[in-house]
Amino acid sequence: MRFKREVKTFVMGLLLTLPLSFFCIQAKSQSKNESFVNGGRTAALGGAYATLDDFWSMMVNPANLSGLNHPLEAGAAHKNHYLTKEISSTSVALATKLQHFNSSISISRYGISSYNQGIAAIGVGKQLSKKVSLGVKLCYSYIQASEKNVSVGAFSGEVGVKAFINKRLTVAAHIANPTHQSIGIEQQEELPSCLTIGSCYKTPYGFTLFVDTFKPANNPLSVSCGVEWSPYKSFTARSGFCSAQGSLTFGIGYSANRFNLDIATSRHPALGYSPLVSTSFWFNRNKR
Amino acid sequence: MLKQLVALLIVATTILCTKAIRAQSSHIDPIKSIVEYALASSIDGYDEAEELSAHFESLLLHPVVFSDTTKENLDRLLILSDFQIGSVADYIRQFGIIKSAGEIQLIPGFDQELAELIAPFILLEKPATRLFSIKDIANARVQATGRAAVTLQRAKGYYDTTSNRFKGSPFQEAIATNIAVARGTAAHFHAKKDAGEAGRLSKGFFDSFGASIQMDRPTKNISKIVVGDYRISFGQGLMLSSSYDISSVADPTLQNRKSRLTASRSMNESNFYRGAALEAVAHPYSFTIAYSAKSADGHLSNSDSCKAVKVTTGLHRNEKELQDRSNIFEQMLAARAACQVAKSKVAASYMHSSQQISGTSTSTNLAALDFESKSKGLLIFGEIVSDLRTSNTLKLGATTRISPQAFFTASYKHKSKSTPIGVKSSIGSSQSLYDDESFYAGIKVTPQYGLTAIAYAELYSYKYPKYLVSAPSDGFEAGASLSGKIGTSIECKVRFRHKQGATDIQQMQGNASLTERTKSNRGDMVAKYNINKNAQLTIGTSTGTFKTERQPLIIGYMLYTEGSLSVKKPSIKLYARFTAFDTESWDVALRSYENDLPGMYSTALLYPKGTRAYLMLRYTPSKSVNLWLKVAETVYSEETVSFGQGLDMIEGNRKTEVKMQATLEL
Repeated sequence: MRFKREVKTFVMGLLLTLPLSFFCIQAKSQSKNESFVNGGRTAALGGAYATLDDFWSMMVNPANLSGLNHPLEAGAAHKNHYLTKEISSTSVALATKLQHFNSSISISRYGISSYNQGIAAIGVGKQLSKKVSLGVKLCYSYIQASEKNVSVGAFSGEVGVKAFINKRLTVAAHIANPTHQSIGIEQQEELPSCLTIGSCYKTPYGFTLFVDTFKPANNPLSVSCGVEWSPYKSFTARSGFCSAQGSLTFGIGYSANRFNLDIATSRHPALGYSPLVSTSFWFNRNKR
Repeated sequence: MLKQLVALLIVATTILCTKAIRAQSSHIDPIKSIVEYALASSIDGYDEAEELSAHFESLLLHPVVFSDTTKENLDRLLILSDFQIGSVADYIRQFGIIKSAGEIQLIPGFDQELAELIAPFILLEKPATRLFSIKDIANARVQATGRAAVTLQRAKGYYDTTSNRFKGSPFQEAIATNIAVARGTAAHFHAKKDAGEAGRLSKGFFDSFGASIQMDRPTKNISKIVVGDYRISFGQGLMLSSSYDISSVADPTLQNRKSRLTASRSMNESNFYRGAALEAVAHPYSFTIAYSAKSADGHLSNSDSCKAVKVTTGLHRNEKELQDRSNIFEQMLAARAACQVAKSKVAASYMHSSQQISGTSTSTNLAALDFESKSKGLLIFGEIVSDLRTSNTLKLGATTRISPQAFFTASYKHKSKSTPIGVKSSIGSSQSLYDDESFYAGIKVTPQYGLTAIAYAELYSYKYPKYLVSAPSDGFEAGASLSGKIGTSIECKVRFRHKQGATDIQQMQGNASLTERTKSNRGDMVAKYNINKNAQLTIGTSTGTFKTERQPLIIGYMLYTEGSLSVKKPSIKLYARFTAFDTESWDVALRSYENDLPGMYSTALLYPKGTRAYLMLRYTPSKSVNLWLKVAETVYSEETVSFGQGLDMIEGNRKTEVKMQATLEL
């Protein structure tokens, strides 16, 4: 009976995501805004983030904010793209529990002093019931090019929803910039607009599977999938694949009493490795 | 301004969701299921059905008493879900016994098409000896509806400098009134002005009108009278059919069509008859007679490969379209006599129709014989139509119960006459004697409650050229679907269809036409998660491929997520959906069926690349008032500079629609 239930849950997870996987074959273009740091766990899982519950995934999908376990948590992350000194991105973020909902604030910056772009975001998330959580996020995106004396910015919104179907299966959806806001004055450039649907299946064998289907408005669909395994309570190993770039990813995570550290790297078939490190600290004695 | 509005709605969504925690006793209004069901474009509307055609045959003899809202009783209708059954109970608890078949569509979870479908198989309340009385008028229930819709971006027709320029405003406006009287009598009136049409003062600023009165069982021997606009179908629909064609659904248990007569309350300007129709019963005999005479808009086009095509739009926006106004005059007289003995029924029908288009007059006389017979576990049905001269059309089919959970259907159609005029957009008449031959076989299995598997195949051939195929052709279609529940809260549906056919390589006048084979696949998958009584989350995807002998494979797909939420205080229902789509060609363009205002069905055709989102809000400030607001926006990819064709072309890559509706019940 238990086996039957497990099979049902697993089939459900497959139904949600795998039929789309054959599109990986043709989805080779850069379809995701990889400029900014989404955290070491996400990076190690091929970019899957929709259903995660760690600190950095909360900064991406605001519905994940409902999983915040501590009154206050802060973090920082840094990513170097393709081992090129000039191309790196840095993020800092803060999340806190409030009386009626959880909230976050994050700032990400990518580029060098002569050209850089970034996002500042405020998000709120709430657990509506035992089975569902909802979050919204307000983002301010900016681009600065000092040589051309250009500085432009624009607001956009995001919304996410996450459903806990049972103890093992979670599904989530995240919509970024549904109104297709643009940035720029004379030449307007559309901010990334996309729909992400993800599922997470915790197997009874100790590892967890993640699959995200990601469809940007102007690019082909792509799939990110990953697997996470915790051989010890505080240590986690991860690996994944992202079809948008055809890149393999892997990483490790370590969790202690008051902080969490994730290291990941992805390998682009042509451009090489992109290492990333992220950490977060929380200010109470609750176990993570 | 619009962006701010959308942003405001997103914020409102959050606030409402926060409030939803406190709502405990409300329930979901399954508008989406209604729309999908009404469109009959997929088999996913029939999860709960174990058997339809054979079962409904018995229901005709022993109708379901609709006022008895126990699940055991309403489950006999099979096509009603548990939720719809619950809605009936809630509705009757709130408003009392339903007084007309037309009122069924007002129940949450029901619509006109579904109401029309189940109407023949139900009694609204337990039969009483008292017949219609003039005193019943005092108990009339009145529902008035007002609606407005507008697309914020202007189409080319609004600023065209030629005579093609639209004469009216971009607002679509409509009003409708339904009056339901006790004893199954209902009256309906509607007036409408489409976007771009000029509403005349003399017509109350509207452009088209419709009205009907339907009386169920006014006397002992008359079972139904409809005066005004109505829809009717006889037998398998080969000779006469203007009603809902459920047999287009690939469900093997729905291949047997039923004769139907219902008042037309749709604002569709084409697909109905206008006149009077009557059904009389003198057991074991029943008789139907119908007469229609109406003018319609349209003209003949030679765009088809083999015949003149009657083209209608129902639009009167510019001089050219106004020239088509009332250009066609159609008359129809039809009669049917049926005899039912035990579980077998035989009927003979006759129809005379004539039409005048641009001074050209044609008339048709058709006679038909249809039958159905049910024995233990076997249903046989069929219809033979003759034009009383040289041509006969035939449909034969049988459904058998292989086991208590499995049904098998096979049917054969042979249509041997090439009509001189084809109907591209039906004008109240579906004279379907065109040239094809087909064989259908399908199986439906329901191994356990909540799980249904369907597989079917249909082989067909066309002896003569048809639209976009200039030579005789053949092909086949095969499909399979699986739908069921996983646990108690998840409904899952997966469907796949493969089709092979033919299309023109080139279509040059005077040259021998060449055709090539085409192969197409369609698949979709939907997973609905019923979070609780107040909320539902849906994730779905749809894909399509198309390939010809000369062209490489092209792919189209869409991905969507949808949510609905009910809040009791204030009484609000909210629907939201976001779709991302990417299609390489019109051949793989995908349709997105979405919730819309009651009485409207939205089927956005998604092509080529972009996103579509909508938010819809229903607010019920009091028991008798319902307010609806829908904002939908399609944004195409950045490289899109315009979309739409001809006068409907819109520059830019954004299309925003706003719709509002108010309903008052007295």
